[in-house]
Amino acid sequence: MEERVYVKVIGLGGIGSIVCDGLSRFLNFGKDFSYPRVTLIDGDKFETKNHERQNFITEGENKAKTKRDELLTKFRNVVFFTEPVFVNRENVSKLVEEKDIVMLCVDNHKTRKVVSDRCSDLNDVILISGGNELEDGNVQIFVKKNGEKITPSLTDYHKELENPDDKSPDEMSCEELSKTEPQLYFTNLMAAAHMLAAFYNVWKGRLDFSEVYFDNATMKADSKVRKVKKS
Amino acid sequence: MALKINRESLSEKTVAELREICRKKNIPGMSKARKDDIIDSLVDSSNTEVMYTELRSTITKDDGQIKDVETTVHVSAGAASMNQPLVGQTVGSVAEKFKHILNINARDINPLVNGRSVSESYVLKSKDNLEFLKPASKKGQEGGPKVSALKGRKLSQEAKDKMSAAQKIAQNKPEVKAKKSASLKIAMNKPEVKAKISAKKKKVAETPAA
Repeated sequence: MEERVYVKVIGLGGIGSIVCDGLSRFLNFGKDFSYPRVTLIDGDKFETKNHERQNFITEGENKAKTKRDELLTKFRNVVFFTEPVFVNRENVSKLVEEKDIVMLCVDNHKTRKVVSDRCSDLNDVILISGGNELEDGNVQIFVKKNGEKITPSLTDYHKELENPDDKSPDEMSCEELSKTEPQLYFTNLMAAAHMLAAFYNVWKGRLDFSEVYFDNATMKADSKVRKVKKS
Repeated sequence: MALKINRESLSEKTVAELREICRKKNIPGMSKARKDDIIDSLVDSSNTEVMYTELRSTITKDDGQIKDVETTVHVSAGAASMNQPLVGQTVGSVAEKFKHILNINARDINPLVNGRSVSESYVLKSKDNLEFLKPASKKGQEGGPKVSALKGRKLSQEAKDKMSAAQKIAQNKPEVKAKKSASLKIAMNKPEVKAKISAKKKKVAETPAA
């Protein structure tokens, strides 16, 4: 049976630009999907400094738009949409809706909290969030089905996400936005690979974990099972 | 409980006695083996037995019977994990014991047992799965609560600060300054360095002023 798939990719940086490529390839050539929709969401522009880890065609353009142009040429069975904005409390309810599959690839806890809260309010949603430091990272999987939490939300155990002390991109000054931390493309790849594997496992109904940690330095990954906290 | 067999005590026994021990321990192929080989086999077997016993413990039931119980607990933090005989120990003591191996902050351990939050006073039970929750990753951060098998490769901010302070103090010591100055003088007097400096000066002098 062909299934309806609406995926929202939030954040098209080091991880998101890889995720949307792999995901689009999977959806485009999979027999199970009928015109899958992928919405690319990012308010940032692609800059020269991004070349080190990110694959885009046009510099100076909005990342969502230029990525869509690139993906359109390769994956004609996927319907692409763009939202050239940063996600915040005001626009999140419009951007994340019932039955969405959200691939959250942002680099700040503030946006993670906003998206996690929104998903907790929905009845049916799949949220896969990934992030990385220089050589290691983690992927969290939140699934809600028929109003019931199947796995804990992003913030249930992570107090740093429940009470973020950082800023979202639309709260940052130009100076703050231009500040970059050292990043490694290989670690972005690993984070993206784990997010896509999580997507595949959820899709196959094989979800028995809610978080995966990985480490490039030790070449290890470990999945964690956590109990759902009743609200 | 298995006791480690001493090689010297085995050497004092006759071959027949050693073969009898092997028979009791179900070690095959020893009926025609030489004394040294029999002793080697017994020592190997003993080591394995001790290792096994360390991973299991015996507890006395109410009726006085001894029962084997699995004492290993799965401990993890981030991508690092291990199995250790920790039954009966508190989560807090485990955090203290393994803080360097798992690179966890012992003051803020955020422990989960079998997927549920527990306090530091929780006493570990057989087959428990203990996780010290590692915070979610942010963009390119380094030196966070990182778990790495390459121990000492990455340092905490506190350790970095301490090292930096110690380095400053060391650099300001008169003997260090004197050594530095002396080695600089030696380097400057080398012909190849002199030639380089002179070439650079010449180049600067030849460059027309803007």
